[in-house]
Amino acid sequence: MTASERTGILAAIARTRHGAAADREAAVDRRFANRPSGPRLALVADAMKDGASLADVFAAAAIRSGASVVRAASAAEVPETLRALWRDTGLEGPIVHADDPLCAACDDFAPSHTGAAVGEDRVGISRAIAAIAETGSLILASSAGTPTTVNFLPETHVVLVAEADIRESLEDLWPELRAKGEWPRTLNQITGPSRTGDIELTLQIGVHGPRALLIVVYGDGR
Amino acid sequence: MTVLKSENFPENARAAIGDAKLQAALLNIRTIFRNNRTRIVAATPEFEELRHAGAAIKREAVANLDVYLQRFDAAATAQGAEVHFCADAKSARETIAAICLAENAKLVTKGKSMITEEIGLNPYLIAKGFTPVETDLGEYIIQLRDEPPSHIIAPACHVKKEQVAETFRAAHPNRPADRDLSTHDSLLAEARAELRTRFLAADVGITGANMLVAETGHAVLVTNEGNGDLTQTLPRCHIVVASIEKIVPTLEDAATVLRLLGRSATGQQSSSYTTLSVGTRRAGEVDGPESCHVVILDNHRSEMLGGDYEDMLRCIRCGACINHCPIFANVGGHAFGAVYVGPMGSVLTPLLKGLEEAHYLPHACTMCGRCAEVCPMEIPLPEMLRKLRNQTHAQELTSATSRRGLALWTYLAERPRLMRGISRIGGVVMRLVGRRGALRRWPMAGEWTRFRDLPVPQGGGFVDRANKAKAKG
Repeated sequence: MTASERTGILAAIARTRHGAAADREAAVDRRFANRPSGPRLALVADAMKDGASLADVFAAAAIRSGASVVRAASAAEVPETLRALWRDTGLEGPIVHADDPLCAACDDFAPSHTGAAVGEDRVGISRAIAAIAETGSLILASSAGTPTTVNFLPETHVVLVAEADIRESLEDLWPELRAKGEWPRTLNQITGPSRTGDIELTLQIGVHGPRALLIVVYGDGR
Repeated sequence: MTVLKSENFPENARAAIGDAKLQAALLNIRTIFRNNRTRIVAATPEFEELRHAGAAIKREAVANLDVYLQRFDAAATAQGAEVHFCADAKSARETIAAICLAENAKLVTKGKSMITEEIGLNPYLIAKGFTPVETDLGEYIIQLRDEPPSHIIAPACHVKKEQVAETFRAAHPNRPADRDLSTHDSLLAEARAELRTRFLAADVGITGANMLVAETGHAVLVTNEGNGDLTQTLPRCHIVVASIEKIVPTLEDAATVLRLLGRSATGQQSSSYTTLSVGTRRAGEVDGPESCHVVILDNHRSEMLGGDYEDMLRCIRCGACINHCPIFANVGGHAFGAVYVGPMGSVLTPLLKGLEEAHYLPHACTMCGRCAEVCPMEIPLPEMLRKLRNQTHAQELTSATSRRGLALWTYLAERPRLMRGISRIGGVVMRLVGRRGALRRWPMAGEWTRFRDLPVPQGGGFVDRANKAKAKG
């Protein structure tokens, strides 16, 4: 690219647009200030009418997307829940996990390490910064202690999420993330395991990303 | 590779209709894709409201596109990305190759990106000594088969699994010759193992983007396989390639478009992986790219602004119009001889490559209107195809016979009495020539009567009948 290409493209666009440049800048500023939301779906509220909690709605949606969900009453119970999950599903290491005290509970299950995932790692354990009930999605953010490769390289991905971090929709999450003042390099919205329909449009699970997504939802102990 | 050309659409289509393997593969499009979308739209009472909102978002983005592009540029640059504006395909290819060279790259992994197909990136990178590897399963299959994609979201939908097995046997000679590749699972496992080594060894990863968020500088990438994430996370350099109209103003707007995209494309509430990335790995991070480039391509799109085809810039490449098109369902994607196929392709290709080369495509349409009905961005596709048809007529790109026929018809239509007279005579002649109420052949309608009989008019024309009815009282 040359600097003149940028100028040329922007000028070619501007020539066809209506209104003075200053007015259009102001219109964009207003859009960024107001950030109108589109229509929200009634499905979460509808599901909660029968007494289901946000965590219940999230769990049901996550299961529909092909994930498995186990519940723990509190963070204190997470290590025991992980141990049972490990035993019941016959998982094998090596494990790569986020640098997080709850994720580190797996250190005595199998050989484990923190940092970036490598090709040999069989299981990745992460903590989600949030979850979305509408779609059953997990939200994971990259950081020094939470590398993105943990989410994608191992065959099995185990994700911990606090009930308190579950939101109805993405629109509920954006203001919270904006308030942090800076963006992580990568935000992953993960909904179920890796899948493809590329051969004869036949749904198959586990092509490049994890073949299995196991979610541990933990409460606040009350 | 035998690449079919748009200018041969009639021959391409005839061959496609006679291709039994292709016809079997196309059955899946008619059933699976359509049913999945129908099911989820029925379960989303807000869908129409979402469509209006989605179209309004893209209208706003296009109305102030230059301003939003500058805001995106500033936000992405502030977080470590380098943004490159490229006027055409050549400039984009050269920019990307220069980045690969500066990275001293050999192996380049690619997430699925129609834009890189549009600019012909792979042959160019190969000519420059780089090794591009497609990582989306469908794209990988067609790269090995040396074919272009036949559908924008299911690039290998024309290939049967037995053909995939043949392709894998030829492409992976180090694996045991007697291995079982008869099932979907065995093919999947082999592709996973093969591509894993490429992901880990790649120097540069190239992905497209479903959206560019002007407010925050995010590139939004939607996949189901996770290949886009391995492509953008493992190599030391990530290149995003996107066209100017991928802009949405805010994250709230992105959320609305995502609700429409998954439902319209694959009938999913949400695809497996939606990734928002911006810039380079942050201080202290141990993975993610150390350099990040966003290549923003114009390639004739700015010429579409302010004219008859501006609405096309709302397209989010979901493929719903393609999945519901009766022409595509019968001839598949390759017959279109273009990167973009089906209704959206028949509008875009003439605009991107010129009407001379693509003049048949606007005519490859029955005007049934299904594409406009299912389009999540309310793009009036049949209307635009009709305008392009007018242009092919005005530029004399249609056959002399059809132009003479239309000229004759216009002459008569402007002279109602003469038209009625000729119609009466025509009706009488047809009844005389016809047998058992039908014509086996009729001049200038040979293509039509080749496959069916033309019914003979039963009695007079509309006006004659109306007058008769009036006289009766």
